[in-house]
Amino acid sequence: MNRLALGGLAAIFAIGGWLIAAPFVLHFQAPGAPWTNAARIDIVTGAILVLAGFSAFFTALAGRIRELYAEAGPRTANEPVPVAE
Amino acid sequence: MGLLARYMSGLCAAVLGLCAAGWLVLAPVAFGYRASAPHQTALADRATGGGLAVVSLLTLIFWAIAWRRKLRADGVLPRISRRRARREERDVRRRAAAGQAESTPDPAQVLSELRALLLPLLAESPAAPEPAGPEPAGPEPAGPEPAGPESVAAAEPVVVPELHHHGAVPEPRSELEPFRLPEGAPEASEPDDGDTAEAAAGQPAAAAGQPAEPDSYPFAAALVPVPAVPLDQLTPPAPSGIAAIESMLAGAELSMVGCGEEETW
Repeated sequence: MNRLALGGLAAIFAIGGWLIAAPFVLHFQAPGAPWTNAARIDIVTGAILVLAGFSAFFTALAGRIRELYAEAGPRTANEPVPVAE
Repeated sequence: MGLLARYMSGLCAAVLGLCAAGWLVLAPVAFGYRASAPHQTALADRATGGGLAVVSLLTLIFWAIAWRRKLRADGVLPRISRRRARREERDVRRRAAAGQAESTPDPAQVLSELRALLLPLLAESPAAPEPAGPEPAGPEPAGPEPAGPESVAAAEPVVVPELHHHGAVPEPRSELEPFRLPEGAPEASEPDDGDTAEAAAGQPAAAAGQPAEPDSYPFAAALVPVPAVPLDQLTPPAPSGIAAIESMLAGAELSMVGCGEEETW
């Protein structure tokens, strides 16, 4: 379930990137011309989604890694410390 | 805070994606570029908005389930939801009812099984001989021998040709042994002893008007006279020859092992 949720955040990030690139890929924003309303809305919305998806993805990933460390702590604390010979 | 930030960030991003999807779907209508802009612009925004809505909704559901599981694992929420508990309780009740219906045994079948189990036991019990002592080492005749009170009474005592030192261990008793008085004790059936003779005749001394002696045995009438047996026949013969030497060596070895000095041997 955690992987699916992280995948959803990555998909949001990817959709934001697509929204930024869509006006130029679909050629409804000519290069060098002033930006249209449609291009401006897509790029701003895409930037917000990219930012939200990126930050949420890495925040969730950091939390998962912290959980793994917390779970591994009691296990490694009971194991004997190897002594170098 | 770390745990809360993890799930909250995922949920917030999913909610933000839902809002952005709605915004993308409504923007062409709100800003009026659906008619003026090329057809691809509005189509791209609506398609992207629809896809973003689906992805954001799924992400929101996944994060909610993951957080709920985590809270259950930490004990904040009850382990089993009410719906699941109700379903499990219904399953258990249904299974118990089915098991009760299946576990009711048929009395006729049980009786027939019991009869089948008891028949071989009843057939074996009268023909099962009990060995009274060590048997001589030799070929035994094949087949069960007819065992009865006549054959047991006519059986001769087993003669062991040579007793090993392990032969001093008494055999398990298979039947009651007759009571024997110690040697030298006055026998109950002697006519010289007046008290014991009266007791054996069933006339207590008190009934005859004579006071009973304090050292008289009150149950002397119940004693059965047994002929005296020599002491060498009651106890097994002591090991002799090489058996005696082996016995002594085994005793010494046991004592040394018990002292922890087996290295000296």
